[in-house]
Amino acid sequence: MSNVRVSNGSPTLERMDARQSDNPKPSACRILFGLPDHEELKKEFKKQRESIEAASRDRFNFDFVNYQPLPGRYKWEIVDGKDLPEFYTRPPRVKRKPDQKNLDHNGNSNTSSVASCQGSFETKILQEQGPGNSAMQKDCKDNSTGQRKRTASNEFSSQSKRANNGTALEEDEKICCQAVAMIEQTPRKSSPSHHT
Amino acid sequence: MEHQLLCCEVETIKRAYQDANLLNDRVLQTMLKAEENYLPSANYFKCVQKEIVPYMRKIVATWMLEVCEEQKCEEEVFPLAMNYLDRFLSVEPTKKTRLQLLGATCMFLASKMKETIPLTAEKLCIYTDNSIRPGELLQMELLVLNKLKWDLASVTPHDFIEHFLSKLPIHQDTKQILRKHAQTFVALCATDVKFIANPPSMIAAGSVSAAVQGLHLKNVDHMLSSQNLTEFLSQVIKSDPDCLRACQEQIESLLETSLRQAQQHNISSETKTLDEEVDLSCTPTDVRDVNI
Repeated sequence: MSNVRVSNGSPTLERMDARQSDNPKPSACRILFGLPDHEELKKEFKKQRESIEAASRDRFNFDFVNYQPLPGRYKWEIVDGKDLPEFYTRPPRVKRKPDQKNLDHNGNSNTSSVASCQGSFETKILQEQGPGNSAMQKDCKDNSTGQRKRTASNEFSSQSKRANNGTALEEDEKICCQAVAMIEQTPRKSSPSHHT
Repeated sequence: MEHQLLCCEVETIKRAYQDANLLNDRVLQTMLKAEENYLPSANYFKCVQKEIVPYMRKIVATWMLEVCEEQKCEEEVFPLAMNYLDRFLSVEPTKKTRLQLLGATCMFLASKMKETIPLTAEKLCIYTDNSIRPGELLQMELLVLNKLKWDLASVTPHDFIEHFLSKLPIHQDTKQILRKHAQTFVALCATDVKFIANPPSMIAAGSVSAAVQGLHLKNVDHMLSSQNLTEFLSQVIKSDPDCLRACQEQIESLLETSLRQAQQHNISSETKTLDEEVDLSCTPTDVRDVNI
């Protein structure tokens, strides 16, 4: 049993060393059940993606692929991208440079500069149309303020439609997470069809 | 001699301190309620999957544990990834050739959930011997997220272990060893199909009592005798003591089997080719005497 070990942190019983940066052991790099068919996988992903898009289209009566509102329970209206926190307009996965001067204490870059460079980008937010949608609306508010770091500026609170009014609905939180995340994941106007 | 210079420029893991305020009954009750929402369906091999059979789950789990160990992931990552994998397989018929992709994706997600420096897609692809591409991993990620309804905050046995330990009359040092052993049992359970249907609280309670047994702590305090502990923990998790006892026995026999396999493996080859041995790569030595 000589090679049975308490895992990595043996002496302290807690792993304290950071992730290994060197290359993985060759023995751990292996194919378990044969090669996946990449072409088939691509098709499958496309199919799945379309069904995800269809589901969110029906849910929000919004065509996320062509970025067009559809008739249905939600009323969509255009707002100026400049009025939104930069979170909604910044491209995904920006690498923040440490020497960047216009970061606030949350590490978010200066809102106005980002907004201005993306001024042509139209952002639409959902608005409650009937009384029946209040639950989802509340949740979206809740979620929009709860999850991530954002600018500490007060312009956020001017977005009264989205401002957190302190109501939390536990039950529907999941729905909302899903909804918000879907919106984030859906291709934007600038790249309506980058999937293949 | 004692005063030597020490180079401290080693990167260490940055962890949040545990919040003792969360180790209260209100949180525990909420967790007991919440865990129900994250249980996979126990019979997905029969009802959902056409190609995937239990031994394949074992193979992919063994590989995942190996990757997590080698990458020094937080202990929770592996059981959490297995929870995602089981939940996905509970709803989506999956091809055998995509099981490894699924496993990698689940580690990718679990690592993001639990770690300050998560595993990268590129690194995970290397572990599949580059049989999958980072782009595929990202697309799979979206698919998994959708099938899991974006709900990744699964309650894991690890969440319960802290609560149980805080209730036991043991010294801080012993607690650390006990935690380590219990976590090892949890990982072992996650590799085994038999435990799919057990809620995390049950796995955690079974693991803690198996660890107490294994470490011969019963003489430390009257409360830690096998029967008393089982009674106590089953009350905590609001379960039947017999169920818990059965779970603990299953864990012990799983440990026994795994250790025996490892021993055989060691005899047959001194080379560290990884097979069943992986299950035990993190098994503490002194537990091997348990009930064997």
